[in-house]
Amino acid sequence: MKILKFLRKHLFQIAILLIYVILFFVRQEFALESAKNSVYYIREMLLIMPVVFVLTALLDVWVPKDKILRYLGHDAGIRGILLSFLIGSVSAGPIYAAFPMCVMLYKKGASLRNIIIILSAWAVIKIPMLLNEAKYLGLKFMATRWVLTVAAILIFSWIASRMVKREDMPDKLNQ
Amino acid sequence: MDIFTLIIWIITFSFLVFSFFKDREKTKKALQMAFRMGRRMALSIFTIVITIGLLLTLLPPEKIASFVSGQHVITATLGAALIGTVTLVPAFIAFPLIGTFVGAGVHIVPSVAFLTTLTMVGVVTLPLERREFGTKFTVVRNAASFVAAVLIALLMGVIV
Repeated sequence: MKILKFLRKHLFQIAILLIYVILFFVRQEFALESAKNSVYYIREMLLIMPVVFVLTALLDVWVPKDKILRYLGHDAGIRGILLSFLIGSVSAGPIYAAFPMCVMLYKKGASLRNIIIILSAWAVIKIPMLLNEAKYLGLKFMATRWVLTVAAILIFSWIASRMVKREDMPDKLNQ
Repeated sequence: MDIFTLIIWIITFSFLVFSFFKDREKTKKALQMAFRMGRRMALSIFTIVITIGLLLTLLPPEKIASFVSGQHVITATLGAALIGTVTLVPAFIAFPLIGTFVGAGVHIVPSVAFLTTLTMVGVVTLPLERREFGTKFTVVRNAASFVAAVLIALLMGVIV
């Protein structure tokens, strides 16, 4: 039973590892190329994750719950939305780097809508990304996409927060 | 390291030093918390990373480009959006790539659809997101982002 539980919990990890092992025997050059490609992402992960963990933990111990509730909670209104966009836009790293930060903010009373805004902004409208985009695709392209994306995030974060309630979230987040 | 990552390091480090002088106990607690967070997520994040490496090998950006350029706009858009959801390309590769797409006359709609789902919707991050935020949140957020990506792309096609 215990083994079964372990296998279920780590299904994804085991599957990926298995693919690597099989590839190594069947198409060795594929496996090596994949490992080589992974190195860039491992570097990216090591550059950002430790600092995200430390910053999240520091904010967790220093910023009181009522402050988060006031600035990012359900009743924070437009100010909360603006702050969420700001947090996401000045961030660094891929979307999974936002997970620990958002878990902490949610536990301290940030609204679901604002959490979704932070995650989405973190993913697509980061300032360093915008600079790169303007360079390769032009200012007009970048500005149009930015406006459309912000509008889309505003709308779908509202819809999503109507569909997902606090009761739908895992118990460990609602304590 | 880009300038923004560097700034976040500097802010965090200053915060840590400030915290240390203000309250050693709290700082110790925070560092222990950070360490536990890291240990809890390390395996999942490592899996995400090697999965991306694998996907990039099986589906290199050039292959995606040739697929997108040879299709009708609608099929290309849906296809590009779907490829974007499973794979993840760093922005510094994605933007020049899409710049070349558009420069070579590929329609703007599939290019934008690809760009948005690439970063916002993630099949590789689903297991971790589900564990942290639950199934319903994850499904709703990713589905909504996918629909938004296609709509943004279509509107871009009309405007630009």
